Amino acid sequence: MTTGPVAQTAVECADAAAHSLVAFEIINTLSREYEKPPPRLREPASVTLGRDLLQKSAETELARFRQVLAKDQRAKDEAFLEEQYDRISALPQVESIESGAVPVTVATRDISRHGSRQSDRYGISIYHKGNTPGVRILGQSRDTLQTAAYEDGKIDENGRIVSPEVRLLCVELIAQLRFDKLISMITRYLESGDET
Amino acid sequence: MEQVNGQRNVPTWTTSLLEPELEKLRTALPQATEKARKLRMEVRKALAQLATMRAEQKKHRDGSASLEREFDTLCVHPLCRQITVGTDLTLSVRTEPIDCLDERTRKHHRLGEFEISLNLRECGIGSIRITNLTNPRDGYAAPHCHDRICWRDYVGPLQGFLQGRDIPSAVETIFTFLQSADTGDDWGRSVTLWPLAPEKKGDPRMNKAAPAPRQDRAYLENRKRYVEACLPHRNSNLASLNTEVETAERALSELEGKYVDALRGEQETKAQHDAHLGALQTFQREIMEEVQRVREHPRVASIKTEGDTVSIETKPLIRADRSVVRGLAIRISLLTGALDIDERLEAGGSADKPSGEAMIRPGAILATVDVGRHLRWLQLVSQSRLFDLAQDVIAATEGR
Repeated sequence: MTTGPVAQTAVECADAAAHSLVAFEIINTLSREYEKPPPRLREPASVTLGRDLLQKSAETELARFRQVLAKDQRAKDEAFLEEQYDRISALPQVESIESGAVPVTVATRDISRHGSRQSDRYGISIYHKGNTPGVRILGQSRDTLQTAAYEDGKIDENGRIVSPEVRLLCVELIAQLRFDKLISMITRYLESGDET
Repeated sequence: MEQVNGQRNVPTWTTSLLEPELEKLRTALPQATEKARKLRMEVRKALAQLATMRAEQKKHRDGSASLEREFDTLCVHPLCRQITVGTDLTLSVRTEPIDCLDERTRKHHRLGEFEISLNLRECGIGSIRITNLTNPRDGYAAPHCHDRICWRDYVGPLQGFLQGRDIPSAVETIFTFLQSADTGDDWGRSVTLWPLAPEKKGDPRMNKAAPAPRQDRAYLENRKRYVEACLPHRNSNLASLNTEVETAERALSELEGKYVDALRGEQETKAQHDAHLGALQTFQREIMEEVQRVREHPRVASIKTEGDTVSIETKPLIRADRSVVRGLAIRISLLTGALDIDERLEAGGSADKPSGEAMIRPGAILATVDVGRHLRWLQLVSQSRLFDLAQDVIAATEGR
């Protein structure tokens, strides 16, 4: 920071104004301007100075606005995901959630097809980031593919959903980060008696 | 809205700053929606294709079981009386009486019963033989079957079915071929050589209940040969079909990724649009509140806003030394933060001006106030606190 009599005065004034960050920025510029010859700069400098300073600020305003928006959005997203976590945990078919990384994996309780006594536990992995979003459903109670869902042709050998409509809906719910609705829909799909 | 030191702080996210951004977002939003819509259609199409391929894959995977089911279904076709598969793997279909429609008269002619044979090993269109067992006429077995068969538009689909060893579809196509005549040519007009069919007997498929498949020894033998003939082709197809499904699956996954990106882009654009609009509305509301407060100030004569520029005119002010200022013109640019204050001196109020005219002294007040006050004004401008600014400028002029 430039030092000198004018700068000193400005520092005092800035302290009085109690807006240190903005003031310091102004002080630096003021000091530079005031130190310059000729002395008659004093009068117009005060007007143009404010303009220059704030013009510079206006140019960065939009960036600042975007930063505020992004921060706002991050906070909203975090709150939304926390709420999602609570909602998924509260679903009756859900045993546990492994989250934090990709995929988010939800372990289910026993799910049986309507009208069938056989039940299976599934691991539903949600790939919500990356280039290939989607869902993989693998059995957990027996072998990964020895499940009613696979035998019924609801999922393929890689655990991907076979029904075009359900799969499309999955992708759309992933885009919206509505994992609670996604898990509900998948469990309903696994419980449904209709072969796809 | 940001708060500084507990005070309301109108940021300089002004109309001029936000309106162009908002306009861009207004344009971008329908584009983003359209992009997502198009990708959705592409994903749906790819999903439908994949479903068809999977069905085919399933059929191939089932192998002999699937072929046995296929043979059973073919045997109970209402137009099939008997199906045999010889040791040379020739499939012979003995039909029920078949009627052919004359498009001109809309009447059916009874062609008779046929034997259709097809070599399952070759499975080419040239291996198909059609013989009228009960009523051939003038060398015609059927309207388009004379010394050779003229398949007309049926040749393409039929070849496709035969190449894919989809025998039931191939047989069904041959039935449809026999039941129709193109009366635009001589072979087709030969339909009139056959007698009219009894009333309401146009298509036996509509009049015959499907019998249960027989399970006697001969039947099982025929079915076994059918499976033997078709299975190698199914198996060799399965490997390439598996590859095709995997390729389609990968392409679909990529497409889904793009679709998710497009949906998120659309959501983000919408959120940004709403945020910009909200900020703009807040700014405009708060500025209007400020303007109203300034307007109500007892020393203010008028306040005008034009775009981001606010102009305040004060009433005459009296300085501490009793000299009169006819008024102050305060101009503030909310976007750039520029502050201009002009003084208009009362006529006759000063010795160094022509008599009877107001003298304007641009920026004079700014030269008289101390730096601390000036800094405060700049701060007030940057926060768009118009009332506090006007009040302090007036106070400074009045020597308070």
